[in-house]
Amino acid sequence: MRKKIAVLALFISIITGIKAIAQHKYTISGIIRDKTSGETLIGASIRILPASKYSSTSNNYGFYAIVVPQGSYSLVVSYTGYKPDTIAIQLTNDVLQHVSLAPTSGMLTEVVITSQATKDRLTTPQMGVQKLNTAEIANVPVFLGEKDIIKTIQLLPGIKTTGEGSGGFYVRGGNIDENLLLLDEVPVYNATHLMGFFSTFNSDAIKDLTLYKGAMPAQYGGRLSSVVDIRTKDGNNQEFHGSGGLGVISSHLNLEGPLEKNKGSFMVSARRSYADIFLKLSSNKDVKNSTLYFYDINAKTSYNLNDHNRIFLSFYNGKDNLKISHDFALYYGNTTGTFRWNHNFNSHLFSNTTLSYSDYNHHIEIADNSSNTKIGSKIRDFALKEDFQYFMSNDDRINFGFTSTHHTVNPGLIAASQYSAYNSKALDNKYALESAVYINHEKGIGRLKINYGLRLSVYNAFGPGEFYTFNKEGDATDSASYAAGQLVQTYINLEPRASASYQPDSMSSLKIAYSRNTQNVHLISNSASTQPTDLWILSSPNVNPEIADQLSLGYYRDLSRGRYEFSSEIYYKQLQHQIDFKDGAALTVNNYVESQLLYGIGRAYGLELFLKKKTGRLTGWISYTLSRTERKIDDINNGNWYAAHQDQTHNLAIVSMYQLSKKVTLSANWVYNTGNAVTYPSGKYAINEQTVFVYTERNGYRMPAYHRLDVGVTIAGKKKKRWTGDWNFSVYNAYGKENPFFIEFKNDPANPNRTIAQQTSLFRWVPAITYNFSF
Amino acid sequence: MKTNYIILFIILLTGCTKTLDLKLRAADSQIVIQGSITSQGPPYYIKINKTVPFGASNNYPAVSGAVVTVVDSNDNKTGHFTQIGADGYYVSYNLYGQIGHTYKLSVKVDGQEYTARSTMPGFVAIQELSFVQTKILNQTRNLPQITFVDPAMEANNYVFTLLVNNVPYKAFYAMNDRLTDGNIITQQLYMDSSYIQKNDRVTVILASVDKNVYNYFNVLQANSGASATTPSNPPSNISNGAYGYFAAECIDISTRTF
Repeated sequence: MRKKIAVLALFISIITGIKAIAQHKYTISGIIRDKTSGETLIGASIRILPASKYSSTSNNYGFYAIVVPQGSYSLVVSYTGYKPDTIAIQLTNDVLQHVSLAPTSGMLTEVVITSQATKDRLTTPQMGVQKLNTAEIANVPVFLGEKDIIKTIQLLPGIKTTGEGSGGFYVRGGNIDENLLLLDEVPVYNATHLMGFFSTFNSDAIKDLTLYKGAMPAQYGGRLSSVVDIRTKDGNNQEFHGSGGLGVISSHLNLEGPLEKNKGSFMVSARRSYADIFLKLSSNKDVKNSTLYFYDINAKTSYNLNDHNRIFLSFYNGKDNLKISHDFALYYGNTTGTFRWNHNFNSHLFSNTTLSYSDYNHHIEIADNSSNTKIGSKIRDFALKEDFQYFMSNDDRINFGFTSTHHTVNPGLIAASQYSAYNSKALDNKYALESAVYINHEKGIGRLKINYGLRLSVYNAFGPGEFYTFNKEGDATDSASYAAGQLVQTYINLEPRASASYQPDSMSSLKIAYSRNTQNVHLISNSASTQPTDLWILSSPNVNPEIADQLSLGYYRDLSRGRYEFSSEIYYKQLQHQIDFKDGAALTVNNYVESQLLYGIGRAYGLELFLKKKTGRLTGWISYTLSRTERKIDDINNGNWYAAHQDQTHNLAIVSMYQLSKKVTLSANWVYNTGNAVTYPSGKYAINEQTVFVYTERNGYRMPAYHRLDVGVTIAGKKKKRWTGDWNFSVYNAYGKENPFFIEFKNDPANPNRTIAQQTSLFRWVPAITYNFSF
Repeated sequence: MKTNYIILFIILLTGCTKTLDLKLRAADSQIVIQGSITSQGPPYYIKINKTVPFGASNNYPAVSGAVVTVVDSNDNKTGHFTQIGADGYYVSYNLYGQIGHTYKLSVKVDGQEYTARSTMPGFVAIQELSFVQTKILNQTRNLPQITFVDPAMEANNYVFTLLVNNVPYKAFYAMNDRLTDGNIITQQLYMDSSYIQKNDRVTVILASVDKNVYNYFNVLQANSGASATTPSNPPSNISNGAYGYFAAECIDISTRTF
């Protein structure tokens, strides 16, 4: 209680402080949009001339506010890929000034990149942030020609793929479940399709992605390692348009248009894979009868009620149907929905209210001639979030708000038909309320800019249900029964966040940041890579919130008058209450699942280097990471530190795009990384005449180093009236490197008295052709 | 979980394999003890060997001169084991495995004592041994399957052994009744290399075992093949760091020609 009062007092003192400062100044505010589509532009830069020290950027809804003394000015608005616009303003009172920018076509020009946005990269105290929009990744060659923003971020420093062709990723040594994947502000619990080969994010529907690898602003919380904030398109509010693509593995179509010109718009995007259509060509009956597909639907509508109020409604549904034989099938999918209301109280205070829903469920189906059994689990969230942004003066801004999420987890369900070997069983739902209040203040003092904030997270687990106490052997020694709505456990965590930037000159900056994050939903996976059937569990009397503390330092520089940007960061991360599981753990539909868990600590540290060329015929980047990720878990590796599976010492990616002519763009990626840490045998013996291996330590060996070249070419077709189409050809793994997917140790089939190590690789030379169109 | 089969399915469509030459460290040689007391009566064998490095041939040095006893702690009968042959086998004829009895193993060798205990659960009969056809890609596989009735209201643990023409098939099979208590269970015994052919004589041994023995074979089962699970040494019920297991098994055997 005392803490809450302290936070409130701090807040009031800051708010009242503002009034005194802001008296002789006025605010220019508004929304920045694309002129042709009406789409809001996130992160556009706003500058005041001649008083160029006044600047701002548009927020996640395209809204900006800038506080300037009385006078006459030019307002310059710029955004990468758009023609800058200059507007003359007589400032004698608060001004509402919406700005629409026209997109430039073709190459990124010098004019664009020397814009304010590059300067903001240096001045902002925010560290560990990467931004991508779908236009930027359009030409990067990808697996099976399926544009995937999540696979493109895996080519950035500090981000590692979970495996060959995978849509899963690790950030700075964190586990996969430590990434907060937000689709229009709702967490998506399983962001992959087809066992991880594709991500759930359909590039057609996505406007903008911001990835935080550390030092997340205080408005984000609930995961340890990263935030991937994905915003979908609002839809064109000027005229009806469509786009789509026909590919080897899937096709997609996106339609958008005005509901009412300049006021309301809609966007619908759908995608379906059809790998199973090729299976139909097989002469084999079982292959023929397999289904192996996924689909995605994104829909959004937005409406400007008036200058001060806008509403948005977003929806996502995706599902995988993987049936590989008559007796086994796997189904899984996410559904999310968001209602948002943007409101500016006045030109200083912007607010966003979010009501959201997220659902992930999976089940397997086992069938034989006489019976059918379904085994599954489910997680469902309802959330309310309220964010405020208070623009006090040019260099002074406060974000504050609160959020509350109600979680329902069904840890396991078996639905068995009469003659099934399984018994029908439904474990009790688990309920929790995860809430937080936060405040964040950004202030500039000369060449120094600081950002400090605090997030107070409160987690409450509620009944009804039985909660067990376990001994070391994992047997339940005691149980407590709770009534519906009865409080079982509360965890309160204070999460301080602070960062600072210092600019010794206009082309470079130094930054430092510290942040603490906590996590109350945990993914329990008994495999080295995650699977759709992995279980989400909530913090409980046995399972503590996971905690991460991260300290990072960075040096950033613009080179060659902004043609190149360079950044380097080092980080050290400490993890508490990490979760692993016992050997042979039974996690499926287990009331005592917590008895199968082990707990420990972790640490991760590394150096990340990034050089990006932003203009000219040749664009692209080089990304290098040197890092170490370790865990220390009770009862694993005799309680000693060991390398986590995702530990890769070196990680290099080179991404390049070359504009050969107006019509032809060539592209190539090359990636190299140290192999993952794995457990290999160091000896052998026989049990019941069968070879069994001796393991001396956890993850004491390395997979062979991984490298791969992908190439692609995009050929733009002739523009016909409204229709434009282009062809994309690509080859994944162009030199056919046989990278091991897994390594199996077994008796040599040719000589049963010997043992061999045999690698299996998944893909060599995966060619793809895609036709993309828009109208 | 069988979700691995989907990955395997993709591998079957696109994957390719090759043998690697990996430099693996050689762990110190350790003692391996294995054996069981079954409900079928003597002779009972305890086998004692040493581990070898991965690169060595699959010949495991026998341990000689061990003093091996098993005590039936319900009636205090002691079975003394004597070494036979050169493969590390020790044999005893003067015990008879009984349901509900707890057996204690002691192996003394090179100044160390290794002990283990295991309790024989009740009898579960194989109702039927049959064959089932499954087709995955271009292969039709004939797999054996057994049907048995799991006793209700108690925890049961099973280890299966498959023999084809009297040769043990190289796979570990373990299951418990955590999700299937009290049901008629039809269990396929998956085979991933050779399958049942016409006129093969197939034998399945269903062994009811205690929880520790199940845990041991369950981890062996999880480690085998193209498993996505990080492999680990199975949790031995033998003390003092020995590898292996000691089991009291209540068994039923069924044989049928395909």
